[in-house]
Amino acid sequence: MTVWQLALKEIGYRRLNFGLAVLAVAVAVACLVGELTLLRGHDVRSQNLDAAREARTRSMAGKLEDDYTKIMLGLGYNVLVLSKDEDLGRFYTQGYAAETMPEDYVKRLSESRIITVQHLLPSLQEKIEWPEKKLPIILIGTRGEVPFAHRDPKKPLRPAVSPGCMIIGQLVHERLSLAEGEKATLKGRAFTVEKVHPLRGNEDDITVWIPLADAQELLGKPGRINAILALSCFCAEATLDGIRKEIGTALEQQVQVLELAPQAATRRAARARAAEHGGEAISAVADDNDQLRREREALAAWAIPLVIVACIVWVGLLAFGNVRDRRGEIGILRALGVRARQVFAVFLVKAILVGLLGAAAGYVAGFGLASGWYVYESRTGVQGVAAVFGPALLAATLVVAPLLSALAALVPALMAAQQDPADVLREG
Amino acid sequence: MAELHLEKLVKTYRGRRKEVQALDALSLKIEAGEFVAVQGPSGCGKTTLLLVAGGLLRPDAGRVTLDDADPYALSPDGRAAWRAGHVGFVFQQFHLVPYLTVLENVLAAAMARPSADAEEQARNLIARFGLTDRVSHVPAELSTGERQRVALARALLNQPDVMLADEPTGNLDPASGRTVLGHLKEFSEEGGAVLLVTHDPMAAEYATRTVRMEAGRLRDD
Repeated sequence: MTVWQLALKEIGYRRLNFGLAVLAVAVAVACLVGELTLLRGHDVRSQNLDAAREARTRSMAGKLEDDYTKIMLGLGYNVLVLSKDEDLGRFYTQGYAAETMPEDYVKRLSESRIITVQHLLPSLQEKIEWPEKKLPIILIGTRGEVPFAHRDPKKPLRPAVSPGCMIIGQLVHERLSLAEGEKATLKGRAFTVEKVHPLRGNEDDITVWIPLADAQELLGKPGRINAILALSCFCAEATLDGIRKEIGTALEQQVQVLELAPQAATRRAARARAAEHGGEAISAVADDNDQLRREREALAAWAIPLVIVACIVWVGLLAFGNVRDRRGEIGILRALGVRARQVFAVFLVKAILVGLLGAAAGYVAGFGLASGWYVYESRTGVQGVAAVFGPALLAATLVVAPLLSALAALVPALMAAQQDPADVLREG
Repeated sequence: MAELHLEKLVKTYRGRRKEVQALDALSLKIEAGEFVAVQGPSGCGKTTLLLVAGGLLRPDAGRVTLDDADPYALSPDGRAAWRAGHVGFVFQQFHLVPYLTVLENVLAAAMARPSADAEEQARNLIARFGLTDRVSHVPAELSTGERQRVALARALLNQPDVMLADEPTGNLDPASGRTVLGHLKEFSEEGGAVLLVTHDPMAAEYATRTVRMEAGRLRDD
């Protein structure tokens, strides 16, 4: 007969006492494991949801940026590239550049890898009097937007003027009674009115657009342009300094870059707002998750210790009851010469078995319920169970629960070991 | 075999209101092969004498020796080992472990003194006491006489030098009582020392010596 055999036999005999103690440990372990599994599940789910929400929010933010971009396109070009020799005072006074630069500049820009601008539109512009009509106009020669060599082509902000055609502003149309499809001669060259712009309320209303090559020839400036219009990109790098640096580098500092202030400022504000909106949405989701986790942790912080203490007290009380029930047995064993430490070990072995079985049952119950809830909530399958399973928690449960159970039974076991057999035997 | 020597034993129980002198300078020598029956009224100190003699209750004064070895000079663990090796106990209440079978109850004594042939010896003792067909029964399934025989077998498993019996026939019918007393007699005839405290007048028929105890003292030694 060994300590283990005696403990196992007694467990079989006093099944209710043992069962109640195992139940207490199982309940405590189930609460602990269940709560920790739920927290783990919450973390896993939060991470997955966060990633999905973040992707969704970023997509929405991207769409918002696209929307802003499209809206902003309506504002037109916001960057102007002029010759480095242009006197800006004169430029602002007369409204167009007097100095020209090679048309090749726009080709060089389009073949460079600059990222801060898009939609390059070279033009040659001059105020003239339409000799045949005796009407002061702004003549703009344009060849349409020059596509970037290394980018996907984009829809131009302004269409090119077809060869042999002209586009006229509303005031030109009214003053000269020129309608779409009619012929007109400018500086001895015949053009067909391709389009009449509606009233814009600016200098466009007295402007005539013709193909760049025609303008260069009519103005006696072959191969020259006096402005390149562009649109800054909807990106963080598109500051005026950034644009100047890139274009200046691409054109070897032979130009100066101006920003058409209202358009640029609006565009920048729109971009900033879109980014800010996306960031706020992501941050709000993260804050909500943090708050939920804090609430669950706060609940666990008092509930789990309470359950564990209650379990220890319960196991201790059951052990006290067990010692009292076994007074006669302990007395005769001690009289037979069984040592105090053997009696102590009998009770401790029982407590450890209570802890082990309770831990196993509690883990199965707690993890089963919590992982089941997680799977139900997160709509995941078996992978969901694997996601919240933690071998460390299982190992800790199987070690700590028997230790705590032994701790709870320590005092009763010591009392049993210290029990005076003479007292018991004298009582009969 | 050994000689149990009790010298001028004094034991007083101190309660809140009064003191009870259980042993009053009691001396008794029991030699190997001797069967001593101690008779006396209830409360005269018989059980205390047995517990003190068995190394379970330290006397206030006096000395217990078994072949000149004093169990009270030993540590608690040493005294437990001394009991396991030298003393067998039999009580009126049997004190069997309720959830162990007959064989396991007898083998419970081997917890204190393990040996390789403990089970074989236990089975021999069970056979000797006519309990072979009860070997797998638990105490609740046994008659009182059978229970006491199991207790006797348990007391004998470690081959003690001294058998201490406290009213072993108190709960038995006369036939069972005679059986138990017969086994105790056998033990003494094999060289063991028996100290039996009892009210049972039948015990005198088996004892080699009968002494009377009153108020913690021996009268007819």
